[in-house]
Amino acid sequence: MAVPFPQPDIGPALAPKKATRTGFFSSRTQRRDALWGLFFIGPQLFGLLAFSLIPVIYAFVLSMLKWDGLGSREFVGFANFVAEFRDQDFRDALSHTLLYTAIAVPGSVIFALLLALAVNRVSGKTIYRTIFFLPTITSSVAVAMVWLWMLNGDFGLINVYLRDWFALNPPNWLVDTTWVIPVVALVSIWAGVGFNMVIFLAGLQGIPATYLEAAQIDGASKFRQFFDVTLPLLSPTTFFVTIMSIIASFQVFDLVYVMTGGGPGTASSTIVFHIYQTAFVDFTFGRSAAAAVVLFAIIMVVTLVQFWGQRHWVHYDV
Amino acid sequence: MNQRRPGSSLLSLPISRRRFGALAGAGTLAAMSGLRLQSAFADGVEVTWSSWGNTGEVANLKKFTDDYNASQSDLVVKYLPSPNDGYDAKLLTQLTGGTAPDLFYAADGQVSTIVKNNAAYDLTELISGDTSQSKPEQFAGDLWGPAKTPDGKYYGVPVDCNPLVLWYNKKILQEAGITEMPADTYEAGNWNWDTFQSILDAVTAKGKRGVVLADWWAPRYSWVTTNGGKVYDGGKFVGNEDQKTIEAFTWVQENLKAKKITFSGSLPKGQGDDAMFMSNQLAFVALGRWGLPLFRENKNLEYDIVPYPTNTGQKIEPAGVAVAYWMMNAATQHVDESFKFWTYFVSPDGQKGRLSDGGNAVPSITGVEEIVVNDEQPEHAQYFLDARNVGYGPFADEVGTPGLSTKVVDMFSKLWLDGGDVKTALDEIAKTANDAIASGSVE
Repeated sequence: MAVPFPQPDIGPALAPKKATRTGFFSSRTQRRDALWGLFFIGPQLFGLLAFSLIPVIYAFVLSMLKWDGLGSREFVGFANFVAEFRDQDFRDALSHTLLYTAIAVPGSVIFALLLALAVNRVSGKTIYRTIFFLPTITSSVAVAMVWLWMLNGDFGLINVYLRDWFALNPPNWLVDTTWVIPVVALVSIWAGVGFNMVIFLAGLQGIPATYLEAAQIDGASKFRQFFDVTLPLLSPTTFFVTIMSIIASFQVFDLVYVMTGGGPGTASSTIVFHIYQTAFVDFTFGRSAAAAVVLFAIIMVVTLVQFWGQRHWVHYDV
Repeated sequence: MNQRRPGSSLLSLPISRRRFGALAGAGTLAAMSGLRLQSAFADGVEVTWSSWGNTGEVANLKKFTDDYNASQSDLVVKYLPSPNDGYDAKLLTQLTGGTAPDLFYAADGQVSTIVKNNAAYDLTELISGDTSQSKPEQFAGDLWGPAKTPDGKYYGVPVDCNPLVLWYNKKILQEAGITEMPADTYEAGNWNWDTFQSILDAVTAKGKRGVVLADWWAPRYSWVTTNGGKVYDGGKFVGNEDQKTIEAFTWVQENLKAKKITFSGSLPKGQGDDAMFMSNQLAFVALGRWGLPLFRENKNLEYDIVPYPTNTGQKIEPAGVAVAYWMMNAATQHVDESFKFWTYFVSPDGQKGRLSDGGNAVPSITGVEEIVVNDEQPEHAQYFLDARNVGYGPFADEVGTPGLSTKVVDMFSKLWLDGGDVKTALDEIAKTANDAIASGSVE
């Protein structure tokens, strides 16, 4: 039989007063404070509603309408979703996005971790951290433009050196249907690795040195120390970085827009590029919204699966 | 005297629901009354118009508008320029929100949508009326595209036009051993696909590129129509059943495979055909007169123009003409005043005012051809007019069906990049196009 938890005697002075009215706005003062609160958060609330929540809800509504951006909207049910899945361009965009994610996410996470481990051990940490973080704070358009010229097949820096120094016959990276997605993914790794590295660095600095010292005393090699102590204790950081990288990868647009325009043909068209193209070039807003809803669903499912899976590999207790 | 109590502030004042509403309402009213006052101070009738354009084009059109305002006092015309990127989406948003200007440029792919949704003013009566300075019969060639509906109604006119011609780099041709320049060959009546092919063979043998095939309708279909083929007929894509069309695209693809023609989709972004032409890497480039301001500045470039070569035995055959349309907002509050500027803008005087002194287009109206031919460059500028007079605007069925232009571009890109079977690809394109035309959009 369950024993009731004993209630402490707090005395009459601390006992809750019997309220004459219940609720948040029971007195004039509370109502006044609430209205002032509303007054202060009003602009932010308006921005959130007008530019985030309402558009998101409307995107779901729009995905079931046929609309050319100007005339009346016709309800078509799930026809836009059916049309999108039948559309080879959408299926191609989906597969390009998956390929991009498969390269960019592991590449970015592993490379960032290695950099963080290296930087964590050297003096002048702040300088290295700043250098590696620079691409992250640089405009993605500027990054794309620089790489666009460096990767030019005829006179780009990379191909010139590959030809002159290694006597290779490199492809024209950004107009080769096989290479274009991997190359864009590599540029994104270069651009985003600094951000992930800083997160990893913070995670590494949060690991108490005593654990590693204990392992060292027990005779664990550096290899064992890393895989059995550092990596498990870093798992919450790894989880965060992976989740954010996957979401960013599914939403890749700027690099593709500037570097390839989705080409050659549609060989580098990604889902968000397809959404943009369908909405603002073709003016078929219903289909564009349907593609956006599909993207939302994919990201949500992937994130939920990761949250489910993290129970097996993420260790929050230090 | 009304004195503020010591220590009081706005925040310490009790705020009731009524006072909160009054504050918000007062703010809104103040903002709105400001706008109203601003409008009330405007003199006379104000007509607004918008177009896209680069910096030079916008400056030119702004000056044109200022000159017009200085020349009369009946109305004030206000120009609202916009960058090229995003113009279409901006215009649609403005039309949807009821804030579109009285007059506007519309891209060929937008006209049908605007007309279908009753957002364009039906100009049929006005354009032929007494006040019109630009009657339909004055316009050259067959450039109406989607601006003239099958039942004969006019919803817009070509602002001006850009007939596609082949610009050739004399230096590259001479280095390849070509002694007779294409313009001379054209004059002699021998400018055909065989001659053109022999030049392509010669220049590519010297390591240069022959010609770039851009991925939009005019360069693509010009090879069909100069072969006597037909792409659309009776509201349907018929290119897959037309032997001349199949023959033309097969010829294009063979040249692509042999690297005599370069598909623009296989060029890196930012490496345009005009830049390659100017850097003496490309023998021919298919452009309208818009290439002139750029080429004129390049003192080391020796160039001229020639119409597309034919494969029919005729001296010249129709090729595509790039056009934008000049439309009037159906919701304009000032029909007469708007039309006054609208008709002047595209009249012979209006086009002369806009396109003289280094203009980048060809008049769409007849009677002011001297703008083009009096220019010293290119040498055979008359060919722009020849090409305009026989040329054609965009196919209304293709550009007027939402999503179809992009889809067709993608399908042709795939054909050119993958090198598949032309007939099979055309059958697929025909099915996609005809289904889309029938249903009103790409499904």
